[in-house]
Amino acid sequence: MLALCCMSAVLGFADEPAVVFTPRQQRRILQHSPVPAVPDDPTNDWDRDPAAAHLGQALFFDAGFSRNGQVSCATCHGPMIAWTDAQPLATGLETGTRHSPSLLNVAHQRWFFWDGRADTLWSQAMHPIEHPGEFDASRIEYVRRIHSDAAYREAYESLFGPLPPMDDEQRFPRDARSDSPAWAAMAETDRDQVNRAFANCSKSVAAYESRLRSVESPFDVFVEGLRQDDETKLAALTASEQRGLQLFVDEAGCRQCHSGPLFSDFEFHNIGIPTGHGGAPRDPGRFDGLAHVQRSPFSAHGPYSDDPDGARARRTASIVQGQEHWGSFKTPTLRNIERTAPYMHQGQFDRLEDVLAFYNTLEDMQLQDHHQEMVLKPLELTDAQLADLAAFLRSLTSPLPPKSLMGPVDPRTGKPPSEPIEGP
Amino acid sequence: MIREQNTMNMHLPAIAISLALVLGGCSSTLDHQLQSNDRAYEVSWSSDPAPIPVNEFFTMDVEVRRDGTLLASGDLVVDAAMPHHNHGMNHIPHIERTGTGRWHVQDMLFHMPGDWELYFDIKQDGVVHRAQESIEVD
Repeated sequence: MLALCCMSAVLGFADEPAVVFTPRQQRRILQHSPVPAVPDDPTNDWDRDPAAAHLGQALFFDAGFSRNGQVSCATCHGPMIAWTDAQPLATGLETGTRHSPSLLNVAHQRWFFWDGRADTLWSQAMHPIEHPGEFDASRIEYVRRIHSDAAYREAYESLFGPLPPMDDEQRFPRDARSDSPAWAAMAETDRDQVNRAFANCSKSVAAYESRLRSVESPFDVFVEGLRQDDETKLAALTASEQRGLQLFVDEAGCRQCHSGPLFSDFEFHNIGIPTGHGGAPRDPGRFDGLAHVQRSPFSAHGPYSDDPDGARARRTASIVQGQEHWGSFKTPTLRNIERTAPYMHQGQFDRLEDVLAFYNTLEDMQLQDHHQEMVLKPLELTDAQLADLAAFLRSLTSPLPPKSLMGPVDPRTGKPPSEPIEGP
Repeated sequence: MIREQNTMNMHLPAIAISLALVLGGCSSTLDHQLQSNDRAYEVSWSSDPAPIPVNEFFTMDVEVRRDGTLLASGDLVVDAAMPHHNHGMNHIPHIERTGTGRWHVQDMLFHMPGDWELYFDIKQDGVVHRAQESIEVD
C-alpha cells in the first residue's frame, strides 16, 4: 500500500499544511492516470494507417467541401485553440445549438457528439458534411470532389481502391442529396458505392483525429510520483492543486461522472444546468441521439462498419432507451479544460469558476419532469476550496500535439502542401 | 514411496466423490454465492475483471442450482441498478446459456462509482424468482 504523507518542506510549500491522502483517496487517484494508448477501433480498418491519417488531415482542413467554400472541420475544431472554437455555440454556415467540444483525446470516447448520436469516430465525421447549418454539402458532391482532384483521388485509391465513376452524371447526379428524390432514384448499388466512399473518407478523418493526443500533465507526473514514492514528481502539484485533487476524489464527488483517465465516464447525465437561451430546456439530448445511432446505416452495426458483428455493434443495438435520457448530455473530459472555455453543452459558462459556482449552489438549476441525477446536491464549498478545485483542474493541462498535425497537408504525403512531392 | 501410494489410495474415494459432486453441479467454484429471495435457488457468479471496475465493460459467468443441482430448464435475466440514483445500466446485457444451469453474460457496465444492486431473475414455469446482491464499485 502506498503511504503518502506529503511533507510540506519537501514539497516546497512550507507555510501551508501538508496534504495527506487516505488509502482510499490514493486508490481513486491512481484510477485517473496514466491515459492508456488509443484503443483500436475494430469498425475502422484504417484507424492506425498513416496514409489514411494523411488523407484525413487534408480533408479535415479543407473548406472546399462546404457549400460556401469557407467551412472546414477546423472551423469549429481549430488546432490553435485546443481543437475547439472558443465560442459558446458552434458556427458553420449557421450558428448551431450546441458548443464545439475539443477533439483532444477524442479517440478514447465511447460515443460522439454531446448526444452520442454517433458510436464511432468515423461516423461522427460524416454528420457535419450534410448538416444544413454546418457544411450544407452532400455526400455525392463530396465524393465527386475526391474523384476530380488528382491528389485526393490518388491518395484515396491507393488506400481503398477505385472510386465510383463519378463523372457519369446519369448514374451519379449532381443534385442527388441523400434526402432528395434524385438520390432515391439512383440504383441501390450506386448509392452503396457513394456511401462506401463517403465512409472511407470519414475513416481517414478518424485516423487523423486519433492522433490528437494530449495526456502528459502535471497531474500525471504527480501520479507517477505517487506510484514510485518519488518526492520530486510529487512536487508537480502545488499544495493548492493537491487539496483540489483531494476534494475532487472525495468530498466534492466529481468522480461520480468524471471518472477514469480521461476524467469522463463518456455516458449521459442531466444535471439541470440552466439553458444558454434562457427558459426551459428544449434540447432532448441523448433521447434523440440514441434513437439516431440505432437507425443510422453508418453505425457500428451497419453495412459500412468493418466489424458489424463486434462488441461495439452489439452494444449500440442494446442501449437502454427511456424517458430518463431526455435532456441528458455526455460528460465532457476534464483534460485540458483550461484551454476549452466556454463550458457545458451550450457554452453556458465562460469561466471554470462559473462552472464550479453552479455546482456549489445549483442556483437556477432547471428542474424537469424527466429523470435527473438524484445525487446532485450543492457542494457548499468555501471560496478557498473552490480555488483549490479550480487549481487542480488546471493541472490537467498537457502539451498540445505536434505542429505537423495542426494544418493542411498534401493528402498523398502528409507534408505541408507547399513542399514538393518526391518522385518515385 | 509405498506409504505415499497407500495414502493416495485411501484418499481416492473422497476425491472421486468430491469430483462427482462438482461435475454433477452440487457446488460452484465461482466467487460469489447467494440465494434467491424465496430461498428456492442458489446463484453463483464471477466477474471478469474482478473486482468489478468503474465504467469498464465486464463479463460474468453465472450458475443457477436448485437443491444443489444445476438448473436444466428455465431462463435467466441479469440486470443491475443504482437505487440511490434511480437508474440502471445503460445497456441491456447479452446473456448466453453455455450449459446446464450455466450462463455467460456480456456488456455489463457499471458506469458510475457507488452502490449497485445486481439482479438475477430466474424464470421457471412462468414464475420469476429473484436473487440480488449489493455491490460497491469504487
